[in-house]
Amino acid sequence: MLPADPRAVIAIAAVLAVLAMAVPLVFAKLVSPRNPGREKQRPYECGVVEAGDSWKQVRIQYYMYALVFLVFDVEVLFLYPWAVAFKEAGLIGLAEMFVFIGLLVVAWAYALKHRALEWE
Amino acid sequence: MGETLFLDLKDFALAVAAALLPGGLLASVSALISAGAVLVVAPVTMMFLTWVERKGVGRFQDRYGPNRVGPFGVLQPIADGIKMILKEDIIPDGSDRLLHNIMPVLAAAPVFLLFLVLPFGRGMVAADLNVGVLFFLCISSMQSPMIISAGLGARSKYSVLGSMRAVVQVLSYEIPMVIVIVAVVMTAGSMSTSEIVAAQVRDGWFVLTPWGAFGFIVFLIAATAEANRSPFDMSEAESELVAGFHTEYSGFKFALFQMAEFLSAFASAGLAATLFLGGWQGPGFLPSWAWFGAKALGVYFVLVWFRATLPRFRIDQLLALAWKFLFPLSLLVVVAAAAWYFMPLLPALVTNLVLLVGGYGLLSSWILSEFIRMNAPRAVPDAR
Amino acid sequence: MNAPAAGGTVVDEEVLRHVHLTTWFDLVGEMEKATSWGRRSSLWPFGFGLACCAIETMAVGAARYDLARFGAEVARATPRQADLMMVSGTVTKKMAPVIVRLFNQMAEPKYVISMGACSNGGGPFKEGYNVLSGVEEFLPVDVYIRGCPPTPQAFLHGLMELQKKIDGESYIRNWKLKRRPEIPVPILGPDLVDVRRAGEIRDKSAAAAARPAKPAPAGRPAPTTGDAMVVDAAAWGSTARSLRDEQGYDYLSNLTCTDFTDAFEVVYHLHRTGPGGPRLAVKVRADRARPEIPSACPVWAGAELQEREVFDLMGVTFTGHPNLKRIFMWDGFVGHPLRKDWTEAYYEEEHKSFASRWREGAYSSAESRSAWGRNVAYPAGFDATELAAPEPVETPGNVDKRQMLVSVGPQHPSTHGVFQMRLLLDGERVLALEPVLGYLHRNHEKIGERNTYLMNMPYTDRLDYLTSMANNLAYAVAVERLCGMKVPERAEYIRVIMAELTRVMSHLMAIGFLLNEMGAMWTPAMYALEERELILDLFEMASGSRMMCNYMRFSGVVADLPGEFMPLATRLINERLPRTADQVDRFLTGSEIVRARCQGVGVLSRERAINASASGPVLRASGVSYDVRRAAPYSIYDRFQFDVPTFPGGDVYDRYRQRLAEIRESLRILQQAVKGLPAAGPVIDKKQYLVRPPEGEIYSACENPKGELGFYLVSDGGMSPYRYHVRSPSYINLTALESMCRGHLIADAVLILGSIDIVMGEVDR
Repeated sequence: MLPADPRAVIAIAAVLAVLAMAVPLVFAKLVSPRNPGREKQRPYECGVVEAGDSWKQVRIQYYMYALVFLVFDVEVLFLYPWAVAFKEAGLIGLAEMFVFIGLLVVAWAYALKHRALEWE
Repeated sequence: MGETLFLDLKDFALAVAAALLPGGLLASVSALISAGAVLVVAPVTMMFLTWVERKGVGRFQDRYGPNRVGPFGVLQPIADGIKMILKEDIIPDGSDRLLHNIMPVLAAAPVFLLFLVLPFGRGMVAADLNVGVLFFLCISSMQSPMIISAGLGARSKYSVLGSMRAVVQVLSYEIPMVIVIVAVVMTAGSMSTSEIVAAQVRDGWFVLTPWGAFGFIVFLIAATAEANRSPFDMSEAESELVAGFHTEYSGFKFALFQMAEFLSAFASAGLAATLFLGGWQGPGFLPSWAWFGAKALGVYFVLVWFRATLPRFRIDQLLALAWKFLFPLSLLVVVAAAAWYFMPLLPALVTNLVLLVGGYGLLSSWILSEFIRMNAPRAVPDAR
Repeated sequence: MNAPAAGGTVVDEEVLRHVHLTTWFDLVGEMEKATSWGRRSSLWPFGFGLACCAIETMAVGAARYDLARFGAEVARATPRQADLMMVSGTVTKKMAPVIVRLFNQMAEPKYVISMGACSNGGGPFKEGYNVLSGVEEFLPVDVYIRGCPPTPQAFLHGLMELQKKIDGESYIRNWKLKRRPEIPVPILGPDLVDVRRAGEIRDKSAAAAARPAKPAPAGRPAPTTGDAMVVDAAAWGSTARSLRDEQGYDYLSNLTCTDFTDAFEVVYHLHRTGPGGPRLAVKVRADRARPEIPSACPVWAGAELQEREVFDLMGVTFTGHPNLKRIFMWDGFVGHPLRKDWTEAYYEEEHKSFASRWREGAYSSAESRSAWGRNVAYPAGFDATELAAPEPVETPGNVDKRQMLVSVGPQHPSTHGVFQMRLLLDGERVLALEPVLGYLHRNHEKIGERNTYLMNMPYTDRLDYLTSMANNLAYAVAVERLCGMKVPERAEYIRVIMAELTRVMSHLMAIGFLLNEMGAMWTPAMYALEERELILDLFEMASGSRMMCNYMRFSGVVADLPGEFMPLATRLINERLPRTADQVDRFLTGSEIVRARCQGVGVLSRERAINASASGPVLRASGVSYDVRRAAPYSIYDRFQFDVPTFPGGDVYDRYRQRLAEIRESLRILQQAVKGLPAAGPVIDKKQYLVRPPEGEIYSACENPKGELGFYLVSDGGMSPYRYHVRSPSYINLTALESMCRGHLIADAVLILGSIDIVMGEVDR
């Protein structure tokens, strides 16, 4: 029996998945009633009409979280190859990696101290 | 017993294809069968999962749940599906039409790919990548931009608020999850899901080790948050934001979002079973795929249990939980896993317990005091 | 289709049995059956409830009746994802545009169930000036359910009728191919304007103006004041301050106004929380031509909402009030409804019973007697075609690009009914909060002036519709005090049992719904509703109705307890309810998530609580030991041993613990009452339909689960009250809402509102 090439499987599955979601959606749009109206098209807000657009300027805090996430995500990127070669790397590799992790723990503590990870 | 049932079915289908088609296409047909099998099973699974959820939550609340639509209510998901296809599709003024139409599809489609790397049984991985776990993590983080675009694109105040919360939540819980998986990869020595299961077959389930137990807990919490499920369903917090990021989506588009949520929760449950609970391994009276199904369903049931019983955290408490509690705990799990490998049994056990239990105790008391400190109202300018 | 052929062959028989012959047209019809099955089995209700009927809707979703069996428990709060709008409760004119807009925003196919007497045709509140006589005026109703409120069984029957209707309809003909024009949203002008009838309104305007007006009620001059302190309007500001600071009257219990022919009389009832003692009544007269008196807000913050109410309904201006706008009626409304010379559109006579009803068996409907044919009245020469709905613009306050103005409510799963909070947000933080009330203003007090004293009893059921027995008790005590009636022993014990059972039920529900707002997905609320069902069984046994009990009468109760009442009640009180309280305590009090969400949130300091006239658990959780059962005892509460728990913190967590502690104290009282109940005896001293209290007035308060429920009655010796005012605890507790919420996040604002525990029937009356 031939084990399927994983990349082919993924490619075919990706295409099929999009089709499998899109085709029923198109079918639903054809079959469902269509009755637009002025009030129906207004954005929902608990039944009243309130002023103001919702595309306001986003607060900086969301970006702070994203920046810290980026730092640690890159760290994790380095952790994975080491994890695969963990047993061959031995105690020396372990020590080196702990130093690396330790540096990043210091970074985390710094972020905490300077309140980069607070919501406000 | 029925151990090689699905493999035999696939061989049969391939034999039929070999008879009908030229030999060169056989590889593609094989890929097609594997992919197609997953894509057929997934929607059926989703229907079953919604039924489990409604009956389960009902039973937690001392009531029956759906039982009129088909015996024991099993046809309820089908009725829901039929209804949702027939619902009018409303695209509000001001929202981006392209985003509104495409986002549900793009949110739901990647979730199917997650099932390709899960080892459903002995030798039953649809796409046996040697970086399977990494692939899973990449695809599951594709969900967040879809949710954000969906919410922002709908341009309703509630949607915007909901999607912003979802962004930050998913980012923050990504890190503990991947770090804990590092511990598993370390011990198994490979990122391939079938290799990880093979390692557990050899050495015992990872959850039975101290680092594995805590790792499992961290993974479960982080995966619940990644899937936007209660108690981390801030982005669709019904009691505050009405329906969060999918407020303006009706009919089948809403069904697609639901499908994305349920299936990604189940995929995470399947991954938890693979990484920590020994995958398809189990005593011989059940075939391997039944064991995998049972474990994944068991973990999923725990998620339903969370939903039925736990109240919700506030967004800032949620983020504090990720950065101040789970993140250091996940690093401790990695250290404990390293200690487990290098030290002999008894010192390893002691080190692990000290690190993990002590660390957990310190961190949990710290985080609770943080939560209460964060409740103090901030002085705001008098806006009147 | 497959008709048997006479003398057919084997092939024909096989075709008959195994082959389905049809035409294309019929095949589509049969596929439609599948779609109908899908749609009828998956009716998702819109999370929308107006008033008392909505509580029964929740009870249907609860464990005993379980709407989930029909697949209908998924209540979506956004109209885009819901199929079924259940109009459950009185539809007021202020709420009508909201309802129509929400209905328009629902995705088709959509259905409407009109539940209860009020939405069928106005119900008990039909004569109100703010009430719509039935939602069918605007929405296409599919099923009507009778009842006030309908029992859950009736509701399920209505749902099944709707399912039958869906089975019988063709999806393609009814929904796909049918053009359904949008219903134009009515506009709030001088009265509710139905845009579709704008031409008719203009045409009828002249004819309506020419009709002879009914004589308005006469009113009377202000009587001598009895033992109240009368203060001159000019001196009121300084007098108020000295009353609070020098004489220690720091708590404003009640503020209301009566319309006499020679003056408006604004009356204040003050209380001392420190030394206690009887209440002080202060009256300030305002000139009828130009009614203006200094506001009491600088002295007692609790006057804020009450003065707005007086301004709205009576037209008295309070100088120095921070925000003197209408509160129940909308801004363009013409007139001040509670004035004696202001008559509503369905006005017939000053006092019931009206000559048009049931006299000689002939009944003429209110619609036929009204100039406009409906419950509306427009000024002469009003041209509705020129009225357009105002489009909101961003006011300078929120033109800052970071701040967002969000409306939470009036339709929202967590606002305890039709309550609207307009929040000014910076990100997620609340900068300002404006409560908008009046969506359930059902004109209780105006109708109360037409009703006789006994006719008002079922209306008190509908004030705080969760605690009808306690409301009945408060009203009965007020009239009994006014008349000097005595109540027999057995009746007193029965009353206490009913009131305390109500308190247990209300607090359990408050805790359950507080957890709901925290996101616990209904599970604690389901447990609370389960206990409520058991208590409602008792109420139904005694009074005949689950929710709207109408059980108390003046000088007693309407009927004695049936035989099966005491065994069930004893079992509940001695075994099941204490176990429930312990269970709630075990699961929730120590839960880290509950503590993390509730501790330190929404702190109401002791001074602010007293100054803002908070009452009930909200006040006691801020450290003030003020309980009307001890401060101004009524009934036989002085015979029972119970503590009045208080907690020092004043945050949401303390209010939760306060309610839990009060449940335990109520169980103590109940256990004593059940033991002390006299075995036999009269349950009413003097049965009477018409009560004529002597001339005079009274302010009488009782400790309702929500707080101090007071009734201010002015009697002119007739069959109906001259002035009938309800001092509503939920309404006045809302005074402190903004100060508690500022600086917190949205999630906390919702939680703080839940911890105050309001019921809109009482807030808006």
